[in-house]
Amino acid sequence: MARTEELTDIPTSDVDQVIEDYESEGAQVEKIQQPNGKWTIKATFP
Amino acid sequence: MFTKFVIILFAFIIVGCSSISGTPERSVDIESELETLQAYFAPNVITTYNAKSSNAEKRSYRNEVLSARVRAIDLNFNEFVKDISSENKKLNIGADSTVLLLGALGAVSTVSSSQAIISATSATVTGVKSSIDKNAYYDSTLTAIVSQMQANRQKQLVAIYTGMELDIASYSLMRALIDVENYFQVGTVIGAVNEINKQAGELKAEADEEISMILKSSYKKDKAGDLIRSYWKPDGKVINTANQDAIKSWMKTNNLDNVSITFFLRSELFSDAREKAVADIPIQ
Repeated sequence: MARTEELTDIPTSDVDQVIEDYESEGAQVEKIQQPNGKWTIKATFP
Repeated sequence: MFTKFVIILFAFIIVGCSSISGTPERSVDIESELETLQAYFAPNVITTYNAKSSNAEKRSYRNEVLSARVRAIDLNFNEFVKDISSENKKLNIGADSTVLLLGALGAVSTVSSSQAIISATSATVTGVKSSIDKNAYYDSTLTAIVSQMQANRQKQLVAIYTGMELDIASYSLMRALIDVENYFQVGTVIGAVNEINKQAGELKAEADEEISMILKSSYKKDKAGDLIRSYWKPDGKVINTANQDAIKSWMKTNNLDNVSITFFLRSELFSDAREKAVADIPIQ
């Protein structure tokens, strides 16, 4: 079964590095902007 | 005049209740058919089966008994479903039609006393109908239960039909009778409710498992996280596999092997653990 991790309230300045790190671990990444302008990253590991 | 009206009204209710049942009439009398199947329900079927001289005869008799019992269970089940569904329809259709008729008569009547009586009667029938509507949840539940019964029965029937293809050494009459009894049981309300409960429990367990597989946390960037990341990706891009192994090994030792390194680095849940990792590994 797939495992999912969600990191919330990521500042715009850091979001690309988090995505890059998750992808380097083999996760499928979804980037969602929050109403406050910060980001949520949802990473799914197969 | 009013007496005539009341008689017509009740006739209408009765006709409304009996004309539509939702199930076509059977061309064969069920009681007669069940009577012809009685021989296969006799206590001596096992004796008769054992008295057969060859395995082929035993197998043939076993299948006869099974088919007869399944047929009898089907006939009774179909009557049960017909009865419960037609009772609901009768109540609803009869009351609905009567409310409409009374409402219309009350509106066109020019005699005030008749109008009052008709309106009062209409209100009464509306009240009856309203109490029927309160059973709407029960009706919906019943539909779901009957659907579950039918699904359970089909599943059990497959087991019986599969058994009927086997020889008597693999599928004896006694074993077959147990399957037929199960076929009856799964077609009962209790059997259906049990199955619904079981399925609900399984779905809940699956949902719980899925929920437990979702980790959620706020982002927190701190010095320990930056140090571990520099150790993991010294140039900021490429993973140092030896260092990655050291991080994963530490995470495993500290029961964090179900978490990604990225989550470990940036989740506010693990700020203390990150400091410990920096000290333990150690990372300069």
